[in-house]
Formats: sequence, structure tokens, C-alpha cells
Amino acid sequence: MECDITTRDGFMRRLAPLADQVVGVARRMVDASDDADDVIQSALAAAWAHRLRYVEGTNFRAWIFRFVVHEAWNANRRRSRSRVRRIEDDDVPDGSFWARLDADLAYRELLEDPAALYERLDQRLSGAIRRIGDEERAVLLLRAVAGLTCAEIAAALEVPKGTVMARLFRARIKIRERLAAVADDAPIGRAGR
Amino acid sequence: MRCQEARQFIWPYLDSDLDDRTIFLITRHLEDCPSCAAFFAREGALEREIGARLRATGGDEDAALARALARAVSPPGRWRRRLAVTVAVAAAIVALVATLVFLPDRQGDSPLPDLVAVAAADYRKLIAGAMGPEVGGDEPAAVSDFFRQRLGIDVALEPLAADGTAWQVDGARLCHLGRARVGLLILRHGGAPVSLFLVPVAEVVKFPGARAVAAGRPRFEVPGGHGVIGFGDDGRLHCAIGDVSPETLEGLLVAMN
Repeated sequence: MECDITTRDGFMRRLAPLADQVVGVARRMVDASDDADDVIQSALAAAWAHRLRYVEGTNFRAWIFRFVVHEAWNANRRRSRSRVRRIEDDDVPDGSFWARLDADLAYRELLEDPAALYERLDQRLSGAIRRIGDEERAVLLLRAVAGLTCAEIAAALEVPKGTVMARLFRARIKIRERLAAVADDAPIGRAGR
Repeated sequence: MRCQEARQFIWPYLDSDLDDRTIFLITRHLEDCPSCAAFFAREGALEREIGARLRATGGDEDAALARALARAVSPPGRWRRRLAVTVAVAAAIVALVATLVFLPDRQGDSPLPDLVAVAAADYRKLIAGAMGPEVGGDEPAAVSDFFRQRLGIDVALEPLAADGTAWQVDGARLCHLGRARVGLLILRHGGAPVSLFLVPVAEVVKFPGARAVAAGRPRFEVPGGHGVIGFGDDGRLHCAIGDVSPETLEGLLVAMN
């Protein structure tokens, strides 16, 4: 039986299994790592303040991540290091994106031997994640770290599922471009030049 | 299905986020195409590795969450006291600022301090460019329609002031004077800005005592000009503020009847 989140104890018990995901998403979402603790605290305070609006039986994870993501966006805006870059929802990459990426030698090397890069991934991945837009980053982290489905992410961010899929697509492409660049410390696209 | 089509769907496929028919078509393609099958396998491995790296924890997540929860859900006594002090100081500052902003410059002379003070504040915003019209004055019919549709009031203005100078209509907008929703006609008289606030009958009750004092069209001094208030024949309350003489403003109120 689910805990009653309107009580302090129930709220904390419901959150406990999500510690890794909530903290992980918040830490990856913020532009400045110093903001992570404040983001988590503000998100939980906001969720607690809105607990009576939560409809029991609906997706608690999607509900709680709504606050985490929005607080992270607010923190990033305050920092002004990363503006939310609005992208038209129909701006979905077409097949040519894949063709360009696929033709890139570094990307093929990345696919052929990813293990060789893993040692360098940890440092570079954090940078790569932070350089993609806030909205795409949120979708990617909710998928990869929080393990939400596209439908759950759509509910958390209150956007259509198609928008989530388009953002996820773009985020993955960008991550691969950046990781491919790590493969030879050169900008991607050299194969076509 | 061709290779390019299949690859386009690789991530929804790996995420199990496709309809059954597309999954079937891709699966069949992968059975027939070793190149795509290998590509899907490698991409899947890369995606899993990226996910694992992103999920890698610092080992302190439980403690971080507990810390945040303790502060967010149950502030300790000292934190709560600090919050109370902060709120009290903020409230005092807000009250002080509100008093300075909304008090009329000559409160003792003003029988309708609320109305005049907030109207004068909006007038200053207009002059400073911090507020603009919602509908322009190029089309007089559009201004009339605006007031009729948004406030249910008919506004007709004599084209000339009593001194023969033409009233130039710059536009119109809605605004709030205190809790009252009022119309604002933005005018010029010989180049001088004039604001005419039109308080619908239903909103007049939000200015207690107005009916008793405004019948005589009292005049006020406001920063940057003068103000006059008075009732129209239909029971509407008018407040004119502008950088013109009180007589001109009074003439405007008469013209609005």
C-alpha cells in the first residue's frame, strides 16, 4: 500500500527509494554544481507545499520530477550561464542527421571501441551534458537517470509525448557528437571534409 | 523497411516506445540485415554505457536527500525563526514601500486618497513609458469597441476641449486602481499628457465614500500635474489626471457626460 504523502512521514517514505534518481538528476541538471543541494531542497519544499494537489494513484515519480526539473531550470536561469533555448517542437532531425553522424570517422571509432573511451568519458560526459540545452538535458536525464518512460516524462514536463521524443532524439545526437569529438579530440565532421 | 528508415527509429526501438507494427518491421529488417543488426547492437551498448555513467552515484545520495528533506519539510527551530524574521522584515519593507508609493502627496487634502494616489501612480508609469496602451488611438472606433467589450461601458468624447484645443486620443487600456478594474483613456491636450480613468458603476463601491465627496468634482495636486474626480450622469466615476490646468481637466469630465 502506498504511503499517504500528505503526512510528513509518508512523504519522506515515498521519496526515499527515489534518492539516487532525484539527487542524480538535480546534480546533472544544474549548470553550477554548487546549486544542486539548493535545487533539491527547493524542489522538495515546493512538492511538499503542493502535496494536497497530488492525486493518489497517479505517477508519483513523474510528479516529483516536475518540481526537480523546474527548480533546476530556475537555478540555471538565475546563473544566466544557460538560457532555456526554445526549440520549435516540430524541429525534429531528419535522416540526414544520422547520415552525417554515421559518416563521421570518429563516431564509427566510438561505436567500434567504446571501451577505449570510457576512462575519459566521466570527465567529458559531464561537460557534454551541460552543454546541451536545458530542455533536452532534462529529457535525457529523466530517461537515463530517473528511468522514466517518454509518456512519464511528458507528464512530468507537461508537454506532448512527441515533443519529448524529439527532444530526446536531439539530446542523444548531441551527446554522440560530443563524445565522437572526444574520440580523436577533433570536431566531428572531419570525414566529410 | 530500408536501412535508413530502420536506423531512424533506433532509439524508440531500444526504448520500446514504438507501436507493435513498427517494432515488427524493424525486427524483421534486423534479421535480414547484418549491418543494421550490428549497428543496433553497438548503439544499444553505447546507450547503456552512457546511461550507466550518468547514473553513477556519488554514494551520498541518501544523505543529500535526507538533508534536503529535513530542511524542506521540517525546518529546524532556528531555521524557522530565521524564516519568520525574514518574512517580518520583508513585510515591513513592502508595507513601507507601498505606503510611500500609494500615499497621496497631500493626503490630508484628499477625500479619496486611494483612488487619486493609485491613479497618479499609473499616470506616472504612463509618462515614464512603463505602461502603454492596449489599443492605439488611430482608430477611434476601436477605442470605443475596446471599452464596450472589455468593461461594458460606452465612451464618447467631444473632439475639442473647452478652450478649443483638440483632444488627441493616444489609446486605451485596462488597469487596476486598488481592487477596482477600470478603463484608462490616454489623451493629449496640446501635447500635454492626460489620463482619464473610468470607473464602471459596479466598481465604484470599492471606493467607500466616493459618492459623498466626488459630486463636487474635487481637485487635487499630484506629482507632475493636477487631478480632478467626479461622477458622470450614468453613475460612472471619472478621474482625470494630467499636466494641464484643473479647469481643463474639469472640462474633460464635463465633456464625458
